[in-house]
Amino acid sequence: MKLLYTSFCLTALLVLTTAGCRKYLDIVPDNVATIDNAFKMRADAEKYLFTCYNNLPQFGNEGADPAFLTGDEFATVYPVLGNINGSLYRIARGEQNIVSPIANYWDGKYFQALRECNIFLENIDKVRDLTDFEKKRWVAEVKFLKAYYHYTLVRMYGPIPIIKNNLPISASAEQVKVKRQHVDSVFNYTVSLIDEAAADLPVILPNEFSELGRITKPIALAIKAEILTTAASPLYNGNQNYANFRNKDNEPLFSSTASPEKWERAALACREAITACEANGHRLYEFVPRSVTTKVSDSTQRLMSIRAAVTDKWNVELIWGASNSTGSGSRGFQSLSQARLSPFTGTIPNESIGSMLAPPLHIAEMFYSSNGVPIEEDKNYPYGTRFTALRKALKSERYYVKEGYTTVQLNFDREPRFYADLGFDGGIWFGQGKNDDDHTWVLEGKLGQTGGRQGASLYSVTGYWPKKLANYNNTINDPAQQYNVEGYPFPIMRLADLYLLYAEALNESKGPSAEVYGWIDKVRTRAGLKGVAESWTKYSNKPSKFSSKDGLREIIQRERLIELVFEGKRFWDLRRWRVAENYLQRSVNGWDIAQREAVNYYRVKPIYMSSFSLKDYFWPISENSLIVNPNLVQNPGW
Amino acid sequence: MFIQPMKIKTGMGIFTNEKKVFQLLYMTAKQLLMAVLATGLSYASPTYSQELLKQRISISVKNASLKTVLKNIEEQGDLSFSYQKQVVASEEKISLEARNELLEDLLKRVLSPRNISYQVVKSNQIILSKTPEEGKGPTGALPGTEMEPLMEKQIAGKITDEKGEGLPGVSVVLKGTQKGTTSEADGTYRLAIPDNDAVLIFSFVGYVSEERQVGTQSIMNVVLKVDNKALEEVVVTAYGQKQRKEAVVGAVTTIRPGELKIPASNLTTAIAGRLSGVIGYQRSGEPGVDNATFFIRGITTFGYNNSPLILVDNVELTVTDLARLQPDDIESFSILKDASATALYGARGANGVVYVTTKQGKAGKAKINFRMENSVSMPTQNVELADPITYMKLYNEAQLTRDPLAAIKYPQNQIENTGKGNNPYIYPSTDWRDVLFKKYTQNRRANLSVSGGGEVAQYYVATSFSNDNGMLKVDKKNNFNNNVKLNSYSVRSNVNINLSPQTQLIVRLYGNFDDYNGPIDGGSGIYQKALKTSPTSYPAYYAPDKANEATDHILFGNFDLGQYLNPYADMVKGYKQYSRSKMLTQLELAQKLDFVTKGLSVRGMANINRSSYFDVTRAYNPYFYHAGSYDKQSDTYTLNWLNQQASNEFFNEPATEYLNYNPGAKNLESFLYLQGTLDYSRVFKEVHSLNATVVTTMQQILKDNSSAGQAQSLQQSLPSRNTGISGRLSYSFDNRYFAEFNFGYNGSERFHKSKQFGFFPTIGGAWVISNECFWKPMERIVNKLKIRSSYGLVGNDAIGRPDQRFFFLSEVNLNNSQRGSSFGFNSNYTRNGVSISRYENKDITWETSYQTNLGLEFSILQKLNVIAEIYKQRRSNILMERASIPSTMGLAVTPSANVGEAKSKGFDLAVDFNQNFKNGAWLVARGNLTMARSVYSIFEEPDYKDRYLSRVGQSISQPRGLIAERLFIDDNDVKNSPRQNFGVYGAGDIKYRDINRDGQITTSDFVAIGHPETPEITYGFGLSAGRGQFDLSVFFQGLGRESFFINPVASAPFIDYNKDNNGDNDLFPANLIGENALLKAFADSHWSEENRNIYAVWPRMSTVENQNNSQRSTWFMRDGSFIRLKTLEAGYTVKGRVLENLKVTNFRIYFNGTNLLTFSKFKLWDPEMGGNGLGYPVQKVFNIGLNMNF
Repeated sequence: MKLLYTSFCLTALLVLTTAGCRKYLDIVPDNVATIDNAFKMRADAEKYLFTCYNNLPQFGNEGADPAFLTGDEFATVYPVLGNINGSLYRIARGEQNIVSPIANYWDGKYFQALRECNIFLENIDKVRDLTDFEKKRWVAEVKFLKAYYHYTLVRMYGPIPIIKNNLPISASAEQVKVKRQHVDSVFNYTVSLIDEAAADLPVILPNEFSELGRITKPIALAIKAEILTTAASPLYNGNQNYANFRNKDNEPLFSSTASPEKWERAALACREAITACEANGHRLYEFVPRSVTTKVSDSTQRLMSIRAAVTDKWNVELIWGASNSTGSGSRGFQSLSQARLSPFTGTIPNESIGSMLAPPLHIAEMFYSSNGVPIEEDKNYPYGTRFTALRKALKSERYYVKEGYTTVQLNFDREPRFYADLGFDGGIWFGQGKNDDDHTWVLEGKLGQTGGRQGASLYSVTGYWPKKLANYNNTINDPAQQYNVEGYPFPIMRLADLYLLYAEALNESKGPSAEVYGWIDKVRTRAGLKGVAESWTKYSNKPSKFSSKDGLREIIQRERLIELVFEGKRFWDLRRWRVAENYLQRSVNGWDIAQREAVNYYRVKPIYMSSFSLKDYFWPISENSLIVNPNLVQNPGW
Repeated sequence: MFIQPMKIKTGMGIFTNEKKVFQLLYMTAKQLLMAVLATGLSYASPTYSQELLKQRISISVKNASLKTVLKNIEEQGDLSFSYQKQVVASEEKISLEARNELLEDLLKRVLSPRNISYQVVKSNQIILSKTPEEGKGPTGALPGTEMEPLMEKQIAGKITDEKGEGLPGVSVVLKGTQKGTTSEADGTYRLAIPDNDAVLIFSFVGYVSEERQVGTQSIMNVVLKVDNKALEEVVVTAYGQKQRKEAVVGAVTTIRPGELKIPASNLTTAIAGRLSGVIGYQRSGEPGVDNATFFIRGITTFGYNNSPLILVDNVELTVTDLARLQPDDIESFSILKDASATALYGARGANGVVYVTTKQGKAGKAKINFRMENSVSMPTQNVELADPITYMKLYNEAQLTRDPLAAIKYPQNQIENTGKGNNPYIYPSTDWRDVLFKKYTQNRRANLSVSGGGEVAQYYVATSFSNDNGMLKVDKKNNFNNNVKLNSYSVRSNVNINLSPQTQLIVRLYGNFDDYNGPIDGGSGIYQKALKTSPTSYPAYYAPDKANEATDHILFGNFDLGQYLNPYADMVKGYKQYSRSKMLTQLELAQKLDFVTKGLSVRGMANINRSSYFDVTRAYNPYFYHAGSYDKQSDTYTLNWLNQQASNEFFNEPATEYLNYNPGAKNLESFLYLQGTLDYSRVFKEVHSLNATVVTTMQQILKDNSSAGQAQSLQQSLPSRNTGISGRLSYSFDNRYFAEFNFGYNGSERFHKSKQFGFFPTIGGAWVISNECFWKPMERIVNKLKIRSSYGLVGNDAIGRPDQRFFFLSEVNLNNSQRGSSFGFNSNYTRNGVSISRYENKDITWETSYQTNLGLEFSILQKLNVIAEIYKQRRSNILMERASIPSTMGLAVTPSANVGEAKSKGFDLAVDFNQNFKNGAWLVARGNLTMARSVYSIFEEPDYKDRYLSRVGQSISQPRGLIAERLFIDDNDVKNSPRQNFGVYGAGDIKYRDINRDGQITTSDFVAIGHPETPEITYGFGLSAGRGQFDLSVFFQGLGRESFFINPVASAPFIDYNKDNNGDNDLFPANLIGENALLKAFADSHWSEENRNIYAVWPRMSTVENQNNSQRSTWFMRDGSFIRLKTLEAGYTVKGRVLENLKVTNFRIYFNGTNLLTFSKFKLWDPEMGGNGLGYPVQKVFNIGLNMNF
């Protein structure tokens, strides 16, 4: 009896506890957020749309945009001392490697971005309160972004796996081991996506005030033009170096014979894009003072047309601006570009001014002479003494260089874009609170002077500053240690860029013609220069250069490098033209900034040896990625 | 005195202060004595415990031996009988039936007819002795002279235990005869013997027998040593069950709490080397964060949680709670090691269990125990730094050797002037450690406990206080104290109330409170910052210049724009205070259910804990200056104020002379635990013993998520719950054969419904060979021999970080401000984005450990006891990140799955040896050894072509690195060697071996190097000896088969490295600049262009991190094995009439020290710190203490 009772108790206890246990452990409430919640309402889905946009490259961010410190447009303090994100600078200095690749975007951002785009496209139909019209537009935007992320990857890595659809998380080990695909396939897929998208994209944003930065049809067409031009460029089009660059199953990844049709297709796309943009009111920017207190001479008006074409936000020339990259942070690209102009009042200089992005001497040399031809070709320019001859600025030069200020020949007799884009010792710096042409800032850059080396890191190591990137509306408040920045969307595509792309594609597909010169001259005219034909004929020691396809190619390339300097284009252009090894392995020089006297200051001082070889055209894929996915092949040379 | 030789032996530095230290110790000893004598007067009271006899016992046996009956009473009454074997040797079978009878009556009923008398000694021990025949004296002592007129000689003496207490009832037998006597109540005896050659045998149950030749003496005092075997008879196992040691089938290590007494207020530091089966080490010596790391049987999983379950009185607590326990309050300390021992904890016990119970009151007059200690602690070893001149010279060298064009930081003129000792503000040479740290510090501890009670209730009440201080100097310039000061208080009250003879209510209350005051960075932060600051760029502070003569604030030194580290400013600018509280309440009701069926009882327990932590910081923002101009003629300078602007890039707030307030982290935790136990225990037919236990538990932990570092999420806010039912069934036959079956059926809220519960069964068995008849002939030599074995499953549900708790759910942030975008003319149409931090996986479940254990226990000649165990474990379902998913999948996080598997095996050995000498001296030697090795058996990794890249078959904490061959001789050497892919390198940088011969050094050339980073061997051995009032013990502890790495970045001279030594957390914001110190060892031996030593300790200097040299490699690998004199203790027990008058039963003064000597091949810092060598040093402690019982 007792035993029975006991066993009864025991059983009862067991049953009770186990039954109770299940409930006890069930602690997760209903309505815990899952990914389904992201596609319930329009407002949620909009967030996901913005997430897809979030993955766009951080244009102008020196720590993330390879086109900044990785190229040869900027030098900076090294070792980097905490005020600038200099991790990508290590690539320029030859530290790229396969173990932990610098700027490793293969293992991270962009493939994730593609997955997110696909998640959006897979789920957008679930949203209940989204109109078909808006849905179409959103889908088109995401398709464009998907194309753009493919393009971003192909620029860095060459052949990539195309991510049309997402693989499920439970995909088998074999399924996930994707292969790289022929660059042409990648470009074609990218372009086809843009074509699909363009049909549903708005020509004009319905609400500019809140939507500027979102994709429109002209943007899609312009980027398509850039992509097709890239695809037609020698790096991708018939690159013999990659004849043996094949997948493991021996499929080629590059076409080894150049195909001229690619240029034709590119030219067509450029034409189409230009038409669409111009129809939409885009035109080359001309400076109009915003306030009546701004008093400018014609010279300054010209300089400001050049400079503000980038910094005047959402101006008529801008086709696509990065609304997320406005350079307004405390160490944004505007602060890093700004030179120190005013003598500081306390014991230490204004630290809100970064002043750390320093264009080296070869960038200063790149600009044309005042005659609109390269200084090394200009018959009238004293090229031999450009580093050595010092002289005082004349009154006629007072809008460029402070009258009577001693500086070097390199800073004299240059085209307006030199004076618009660069700050230098003795140079006039319009704006920044001083908008009267007769009372402007003068940048004094030698040691002990306001703009010269201060402290351990916040200074230009070369003696030049990328004035172009600093919005002239930014104001300096030294006593409060402030630099008040007016952000502007970093230009991803502007009309001048598109004109020059078209000129390039035309020259490549059809050779020199008046039509080609015309597109270049539009840009030159805005820069205050005479046309290509006239300038070369009159001033160059290679007067007929423009009439040959090769010569004209050189001219177009130089024009692009000058016009789009500091805009994150040079880095990619040098690669797609397959000329990077001519530019990126040399001594990067500046002035001897540790000197107080002009005679000593204007001495060429090497800063570092830049490093580039054939393998650097494409970044390495990390060794680990290749081990995880044996179907991937490494880029040549790594 | 005894200290003298120690002083000579130590020889490791910091000896200028030794004298002071000992003076200090001496003085404290004096103070202590006075204090205790004063308090003693008010506490004196006699101790006696007749209450024991008033308890009520129920018993029902049929045809049992007297021995069994006594055992039964022992179990019920929580008492023990001591007797000579022949007292209860009778073969008579007894049948007995008693219900709630007073023990006193029961004993009379049982013993009187059998001519046995009893006497209560101590609180719970009853001594039985044969009642003398009619006509003999009532005490039972036989005056030998009257009995044996033939005897020629009288011998007399006193038999005492080790503490000097007289032992009554000890049998004294003349060897080779039947003649003998028993000792009196005070331990004295008297016996007539034939001649001087006579040998007497003194024996007593529970004590080790002694044989003595009489010789010429007529007084022979004997000290009997406690027989450890007998003392350890009871072992506390899972859920606090007491098992006779003989009956234990699982692997359980117990330690007497007394052995955990070390001069430190952190119990965890005492564990390593003292308990077989535990691998342990201590990496930092900072008060408050000096918990030792320990693992039961090593690290047996590569999953998230590898630390043991810590249970105090059945309640799960944290390592810090364990660290704060007072050894004096501990009743039992057990380590449950194998599946059989831990099975009842089911899904939580796989990493072993630390099981602690606290003392309970015993009926009787109040007993008071008081202990007080005062100690002096100092670093065991300080890292030696290069002098400032060398520092500057080598800094310049580091610049120029990497970049010949570099502008050197320290001009020749500065080096010369610093050398000459000119104006120290202009030519600073700051030994930051000297500025910031004292050479030693003092700590204090005291604890007091009172226990006693009556028939209705018994109590144990204890309180303790400890005060630990850091090494920081307190600056007179400041008006607040910012040295590390950790005061810890605790109160414990355990009360047992007998509601009825069958019902007992136990109430346990415990509170532990830490109050901390210290620098904002903590002692460790300041210490590390001191080693990351240039000694020669600026002084700690400036003497005021002319303009600042009236300035109130300290003129802190800095450089450039004020963004350089000034640890002095960081130390004195303010202080942080934190309070940590733990309140624990526990209610337990035990009900005997003998009326249902005999041997059945139930217990119910409820526990509620609350923990809280918060900190506040008060600090001013320092003013930083730099000497702007210096006039050599007048030796005056003017100071530039560097951080005068409010929006300074490096400082968010302006410099202030007043304190600002900053609220810090707040952690709150509530804990609820319910437990129900059903016990059944019965002996059938005397030889069949059956025990069954069923336990049900429910546990909930709820944490707030407001602390600064923690991500706040809904999922983390949900309570953690465990529940389950587990049971044990054990059977033994005639104390020879034991079998046991355990199971745990446990669930955890972490898993999907279909995976929530798991069943974890174990079986085990033991055979006590020495209890077999055939062993009789061997018994004199091998008096105990037992083998045991177990096999079973245990689980581990803590498989992921707290934020990963619900693997079966996805974790989505639908409002992530980092993932949004902005559009519009002013970029102000912003929407946050969506991010996924976990993909759902409903299959995730706990790790399961399959454990096999084999144990052998034997003891030889009652003196040498050995427990040896070998074990094997297979841990499956280890959660790990999928390694086969390429990044092209685009997953935001790598998913995890239960795919890993590890295997481990090891060996635990515990040996002790006891010896008593004729002159009353005694000696105990103990040693233990733990070897544990765990290897990956299944590890998801890419399909490596080179097998050496695979982790399978390698130790879980096996470091992998490059094999460094030597340094490059010159650039030609570089050109002719395989390309190294880690960063720029050249002559003088480390040359690595190209393992796979592909012409490149990459991650594919990383191989297993050295020993694991967690030691595979932990051992300890010690010796205690005493004679009369003196006792002395030494204890050595060591680690073996461990490698560690000198962190090549944290220790790299001159570079700016803002992480702590482990590289995990920021020590200071990245926009501030530090400059690593230059270790003397590196200054003395490094590659330079003049001295191209390709085997120098440090490669070519650099002022920035050299990625090539900072790869993990054999270059910086060191042997971490060491052996150290962990503790040395000398005690003196004071005796005398004065104490007796004061009713002091025990008064002992002792001196001890920890970490006094270290023997290791590694000389730069204390090897126990491993790679954390530049952190707060492990401390060496000299301590004086006293212990009093009333």
